[in-house]
Amino acid sequence: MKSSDLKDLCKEPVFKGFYDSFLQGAKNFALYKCGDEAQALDLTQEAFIKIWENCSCVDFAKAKTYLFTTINNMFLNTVKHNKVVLNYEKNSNTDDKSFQDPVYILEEKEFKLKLQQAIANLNEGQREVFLMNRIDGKKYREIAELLDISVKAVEKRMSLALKSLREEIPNI
Amino acid sequence: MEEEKNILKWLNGDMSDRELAAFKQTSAYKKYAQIAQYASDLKPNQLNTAQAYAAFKNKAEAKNTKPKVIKPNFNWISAAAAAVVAVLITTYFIFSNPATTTEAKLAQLTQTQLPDQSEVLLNSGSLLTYVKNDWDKNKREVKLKGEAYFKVTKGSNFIVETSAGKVQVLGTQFNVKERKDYFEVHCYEGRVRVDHGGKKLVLTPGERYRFINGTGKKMTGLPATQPSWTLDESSFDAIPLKYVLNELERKFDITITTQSIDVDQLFAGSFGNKNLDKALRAVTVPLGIEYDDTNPKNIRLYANNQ
Repeated sequence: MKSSDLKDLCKEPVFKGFYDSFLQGAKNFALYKCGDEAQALDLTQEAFIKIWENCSCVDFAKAKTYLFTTINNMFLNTVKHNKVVLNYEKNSNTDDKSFQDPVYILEEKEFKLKLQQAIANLNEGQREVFLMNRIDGKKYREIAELLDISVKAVEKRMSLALKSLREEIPNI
Repeated sequence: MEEEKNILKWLNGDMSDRELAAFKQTSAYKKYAQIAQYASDLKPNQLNTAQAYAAFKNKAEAKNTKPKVIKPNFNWISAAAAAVVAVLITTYFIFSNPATTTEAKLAQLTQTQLPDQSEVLLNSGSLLTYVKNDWDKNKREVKLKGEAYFKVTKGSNFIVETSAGKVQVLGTQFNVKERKDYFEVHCYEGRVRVDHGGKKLVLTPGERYRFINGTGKKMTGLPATQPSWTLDESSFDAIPLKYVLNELERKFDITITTQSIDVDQLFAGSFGNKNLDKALRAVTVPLGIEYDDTNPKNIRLYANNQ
């Protein structure tokens, strides 16, 4: 392959590399928007198909931004806005009950429930930024690039999200 | 304000150890730590990339709408050429009779309606051709390669031409089966005239004509009121095994090879058209044959020597 080919999305290996590195993040992003795993995956696959079909017009450096923008647009166009409630894994590490007293366990359970509710009540922009940072471990700069907004805007959404979470959630 | 900046910095993992230590002393820390920690523990589904990619490929290919960019480049030569082509095409359609072709691919059945509302059901691997413009009140003619079940509306002579022979009717239900060295016509309703190898005969309901191994004869008694294959089953009575295997190949789009097996031995029975495994057993078990389906597209039959 020529060096220019390494960035040609019409070449299947290049496209597959792109797909593999962004699939999970993009699906999660869609999930933060629509709250449904199956629908999120559908949206993501459709967006990838769009990029594949338009591979010759999509600049490699901009492809990931294009991917997230496409998901956002398709979401706005097609998906009914549901309440987005994300779930905890059944046996997550915070569930280690072996030496915790029952009061704590109850409180923790209540805390989780409140947090889920509070996250569901965030507005879409705040929620996706907050969760991309928390769950996907993305830096503000990466989020800004993917969503095609400024780092300042990401920070603004983060602090607004934190503010409303703090207000809705009681102390343990 | 200072606190907010610190929180953002902390969530982004940008704090130095010293800053972090100081931040942990603040009153706000505990609560934010909880929120941050528990939010990070929410678990979206982890995707299997390979599986998702396979699904993606399927979807993308199903759409198969990869656009081709066509840049129109008209100049007067191509415009003139286009005009000539247009004239030629028009002339072709005015003076020729394009044939209509219906095909049933391997492992498929295809139903079609003729211009006179007659219905035809094509069995797997069959081809039906007719020239619509040639049809009129006095003549209805179709060409058949393979096997088909006809429900002909009443009217003028209806002729089915095959490479083996001609079948002629007025309005009736019948089945025509044309294979290499094998030709069979079943009459379910009305009267069917068969022209085959210089022989002319008329079939009445319940009668059939079978030509096999070079000899043709008229037989009475039909196994059912309509061909079994229209009900997803292929039946045979006293038919050489090779034709049965042939039918299996058509029905399931496979190839069958045989090894030290007498393919001329007669087979009576049937197999369903849905499940290859069951069909294979239905054919092989009664004859004491073994089969090897390690390659599901190429089945090997061999004699059972035990």
